[in-house]
Amino acid sequence: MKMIIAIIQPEKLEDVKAALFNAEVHKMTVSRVRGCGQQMGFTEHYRGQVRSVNLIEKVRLEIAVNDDFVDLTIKAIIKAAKSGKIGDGKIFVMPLEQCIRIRTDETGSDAIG
Amino acid sequence: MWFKNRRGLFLLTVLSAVLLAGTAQAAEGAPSELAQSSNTLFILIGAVMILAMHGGFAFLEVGSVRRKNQVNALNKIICEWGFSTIVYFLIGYPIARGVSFLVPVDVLTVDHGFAYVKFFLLLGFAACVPAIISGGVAERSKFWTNSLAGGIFVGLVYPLIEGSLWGQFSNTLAGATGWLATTFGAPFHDYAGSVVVHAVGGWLALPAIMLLGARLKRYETNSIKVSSIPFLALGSWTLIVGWFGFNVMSAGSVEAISGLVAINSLMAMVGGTMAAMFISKNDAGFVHNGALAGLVAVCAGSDIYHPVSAAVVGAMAGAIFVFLFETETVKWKIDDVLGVWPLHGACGAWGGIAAGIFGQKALGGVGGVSFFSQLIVTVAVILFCLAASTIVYGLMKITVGIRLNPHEELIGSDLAVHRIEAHPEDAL
Repeated sequence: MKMIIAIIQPEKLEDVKAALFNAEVHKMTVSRVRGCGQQMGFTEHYRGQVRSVNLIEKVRLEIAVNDDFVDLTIKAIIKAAKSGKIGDGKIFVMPLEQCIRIRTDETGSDAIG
Repeated sequence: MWFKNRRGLFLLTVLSAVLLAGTAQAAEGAPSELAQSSNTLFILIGAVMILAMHGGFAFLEVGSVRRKNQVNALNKIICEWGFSTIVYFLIGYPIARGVSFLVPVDVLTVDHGFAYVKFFLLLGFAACVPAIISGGVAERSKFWTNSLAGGIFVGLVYPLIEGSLWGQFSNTLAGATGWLATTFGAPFHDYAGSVVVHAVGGWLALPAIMLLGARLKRYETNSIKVSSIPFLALGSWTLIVGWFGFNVMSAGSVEAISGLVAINSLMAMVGGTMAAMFISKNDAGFVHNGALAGLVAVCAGSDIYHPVSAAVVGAMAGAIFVFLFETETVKWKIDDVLGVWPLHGACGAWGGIAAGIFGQKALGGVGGVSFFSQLIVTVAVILFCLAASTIVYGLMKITVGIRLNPHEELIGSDLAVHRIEAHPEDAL
């Protein structure tokens, strides 16, 4: 079992969702986040004052998958989120120790699928 | 008592003398000081109510666009008011009305400066044109090219229409002794601007929206949402309230005021709201725009309808708005963000034609209107506007471009043009 965390451009969310659904990945948690990467932020102007904002709005997806779905999921995210420009985001893959479905008490791979 | 000192008594005497002088003058039949000053105040109140409507345009757009384009909506409306004032003052008003303001002030300050407030009121009408277009081209148009187009429309295109139908050229074509009146029995009738203001704005907007093209991803995904129903509703309410100045103060003077205009505006607004509510199954966007659809349609005949007819005209406008908005944006894939063509273009044209139907004596109206005069002028205005907008936006599109680049559109016009988000505190 793996936990895949992807940070993507907000405007790519619809495309990424569609690509994941196409790849039969239907379960995910999505949140609005702000972060800092190579894109380096922007400056804001208000009444002549300039202020730099280096945390930019991003969308974070958390997807728990069984091992045979890992590559498929990563490929779907890259295909939909890639524009080739700085700011496209990152994907982190990490081992997942346990997963429990609260409703049924199922654990492990059964609980993810 | 307050006049127990001498100065108070003196003031009281002067006041009574002035009041008596006023009544004496009125009795002789000449326009009294009180009549002149009342007219100036009357028109000023109308002008300020229309000024408030522009705040309504701003908030209707703020609520109807995504969060990343809210600042742009606000800045566009207030800047376009500024551009409109300058070009209408210098060029547009002299074309439409044959009155120039570049004369010594004492020429126009007689009769309490009525000429100045009349300009203010009519500027409010003229400035509706770019404010209407703004809602259609939102979220993707370039600020400067869109402002330039607005300036050309307010300085030249709108004044030619205003001048022909309301202003200094109106007698030759649409006036009481014009060709329409002698051929069809009645002149063209547009009391408060269903055709002259709203149809003009809506039909000028349509080619602009089509030449711009849809917002990125508008038809590829369903990810484009509106940012705020409360702001959308605030904009709608501000427009509704101001509209009673727009319609009632179209009387032009306090002696000509008509309570019928007020009740008809109210009935049409309610008719539009009810129709939109039933047809759309109580959709927030449609209900709040349905009220406006009714008001757009009632302008032309608001002084001649029976209130029941006004409700019918408004209800039909509400229905027209809902059906045409869906047809335009879903079926034809024309990305009209606020639906300004169905709202102002289609309902404005409907209002112009409806005045020729429901204004007739046979349908409980005051009469003195001709269906064919209404139809011919409405169609002519539509064709003129389509041509003017195609030329202006078309020429700008092939020369300097009218659209933000994809990157600017993705980060939003707030950051791309104005360098700030609508809610700066959200930035970390």
